[in-house]
Amino acid sequence: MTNRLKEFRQEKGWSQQELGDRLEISRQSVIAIETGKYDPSLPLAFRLAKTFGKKIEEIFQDS
Amino acid sequence: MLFCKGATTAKKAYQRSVLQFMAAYAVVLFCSSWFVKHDGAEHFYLYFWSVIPAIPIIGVIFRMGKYLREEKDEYQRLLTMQSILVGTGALLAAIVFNDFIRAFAKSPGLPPFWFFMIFCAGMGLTQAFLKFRNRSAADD
Repeated sequence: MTNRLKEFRQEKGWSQQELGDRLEISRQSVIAIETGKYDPSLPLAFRLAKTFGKKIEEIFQDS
Repeated sequence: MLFCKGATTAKKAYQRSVLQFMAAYAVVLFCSSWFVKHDGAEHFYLYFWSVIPAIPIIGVIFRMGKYLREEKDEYQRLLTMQSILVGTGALLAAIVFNDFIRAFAKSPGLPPFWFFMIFCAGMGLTQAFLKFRNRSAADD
């Protein structure tokens, strides 16, 4: 699975730490998701989508 | 504390508890060693002072389970579970080797206290490796 998390985060001007704080997850977790090392659970994917005001499928794509 | 930097709330609480257990372990181990050596403890008291230092170690193991239940960051939970799995694998492998060496080579096997150290080493090295792997991808 690929994602556009980094792109959306940079659009908002947030650091990895800031995004982590908003989602109540660690910066390490943000890095793992951005780099595709970890695919988040459905609840976390929904929280991500809500944080960016996007649909889940806009953020995550099946590669 | 430096090693708590960037850690989740659950992880900070876990690290604090582990430090407390380790402090208790140092005190209890010192007391046990002293009583067994100087008091000439026998029978019940010998068993009592032998078992007491294990309690803080069991406390650390219990606290690991509690941490996994409390951790809300699913990726951190996964990393911890992976490192516990590697630690447990290393521990089981050491036990199997040790048992065969004792059974067939009639060797005394590993000295006391090595098994928990092997578990901790397996777990710690895995955590360090996973942290290092992620650090290389940080961009800000």
